[in-house]
Amino acid sequence: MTGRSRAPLLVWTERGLYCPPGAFHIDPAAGVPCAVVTHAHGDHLRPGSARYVLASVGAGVARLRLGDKAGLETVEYGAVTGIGDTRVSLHPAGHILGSAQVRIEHAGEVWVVSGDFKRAADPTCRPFEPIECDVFVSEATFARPVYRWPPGVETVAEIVRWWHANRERGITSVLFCYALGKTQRVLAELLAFTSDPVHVHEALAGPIRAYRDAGVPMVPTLPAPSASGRQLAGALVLAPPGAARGRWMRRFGEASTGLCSGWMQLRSNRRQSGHDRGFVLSDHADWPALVDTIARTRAPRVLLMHGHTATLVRFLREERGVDAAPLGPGSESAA
Amino acid sequence: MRAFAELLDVLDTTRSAAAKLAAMARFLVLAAPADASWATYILCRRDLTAFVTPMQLRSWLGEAAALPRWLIDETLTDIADLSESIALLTASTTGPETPGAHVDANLSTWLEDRLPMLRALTESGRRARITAWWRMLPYRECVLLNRLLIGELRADVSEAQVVRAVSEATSRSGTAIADLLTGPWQPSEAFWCRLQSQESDRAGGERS
Ligand SMILES: [Zn+2]
Ligand SMILES: [Zn+2]
Repeated sequence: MTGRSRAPLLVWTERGLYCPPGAFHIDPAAGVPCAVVTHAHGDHLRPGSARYVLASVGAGVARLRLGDKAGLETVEYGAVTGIGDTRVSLHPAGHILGSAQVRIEHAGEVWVVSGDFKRAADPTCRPFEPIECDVFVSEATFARPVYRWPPGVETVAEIVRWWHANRERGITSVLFCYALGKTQRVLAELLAFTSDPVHVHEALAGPIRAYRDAGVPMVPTLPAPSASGRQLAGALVLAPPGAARGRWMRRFGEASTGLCSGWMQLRSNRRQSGHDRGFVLSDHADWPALVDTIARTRAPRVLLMHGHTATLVRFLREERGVDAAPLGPGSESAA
Repeated sequence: MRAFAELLDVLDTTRSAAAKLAAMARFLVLAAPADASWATYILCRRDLTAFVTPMQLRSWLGEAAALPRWLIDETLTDIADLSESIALLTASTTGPETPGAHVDANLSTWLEDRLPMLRALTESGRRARITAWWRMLPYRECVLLNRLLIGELRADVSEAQVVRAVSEATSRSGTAIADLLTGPWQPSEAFWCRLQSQESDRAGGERS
């Protein structure tokens, strides 16, 4: 382990995290010469870069956002690639299909960037692998102790109970979930309960196909018809959250709506969601997972990005003796 | 208690009167008679007994959650609901399907046996019992337990909606149900059976 006198391996710039000795960005906010990408969510993968380095299993979902022409350089999990003066490898992050942590080694020092990650079981992607490092750059989206997820299978069991109760009443169940990742996780977890087909909004078709192409088993899906609601009475329909307020909803007769998200952990969020039900299902690490993961990396220095960083920074410093600091817009650089 | 906790969450979240009615009626049909009568009593916002004070629960939370005081205080301020804060910080996350991770029982067992039995315990015995329940119950049941412990539970439904749900669940007229629910009554299996039986209708001259 090395001291902190040397130049940092990663610094925060306007375009996001930048590695000077490797001359690459991680999840850049705008086009750059070389982008190492943790996963295909819109706030991490943006078009316009000359070169993309990402996990090979995530290529299909990345193409959905970048099109066929972008220069993708796919690498297997664990395989080391030389970029500039650094050695870079990608490791499973358990967030969505193809999500990766980025391990960077330079001059005997190791930094790991978690990207978005979770520790909970998810049948659609490889589980997170903790990596020992000198500096761990972690996401902190749900970094408050109130966020403690129930098992995903419990939440999906609850979704099934809600669906079946609605079916008894002859009404449609419309479940809103993020198009990439959450939707496919629900469809895969549903296999434990049913083989009935689920109807899906057209915006979900591409990501579902990409997951099927990657060999992820899921319940059968049918397009949500544009016809009037009658034939969807009793059905479960999945849709992206943006469809909740639009014309699209009018095709259903009587419907019960639900939202799948980690934010649904809090009663106030469930009440403000505007939906009949809030289901707790997150693809991010909860508080116990963040604290446990940080301990497992054995990193003496931890930098926190995204979300409620202040609480976890104080907790790590005061209760765990970890040299923790926020990283990102508004914070000082990683040095 | 699990089904009632889920019902309360539905009543709390949904804005739809039809959904609230359907959820209540469904619960009442499936519940054991004593549970149905307790649920009706609670949904009608009848007075509940307090078994501990909010201050006591609050003072036990730091140790139960294994978190520093500043973080407990920060959470209580953010969430602004003691019963929910406790559940968020301490409830079991292994899920009710996990064998042995669960101490749930019928709603009536909690209200007629388990909670009244707390009175026979010393302060430290009560604390040990309650904090053990916190660790074993999942979130929703834990929220409900805390509300029952301090005797403060106000479901987001009107008495008229409850009457409609009971009427639907028992297939009896709303007027007959409203009559029976007015005035003093104690929840019990016998009371629910009286609600269900047509006897009182005949006695009241509504039917011949
Ligand atoms: Zn993401
Ligand atoms: Zn993200």
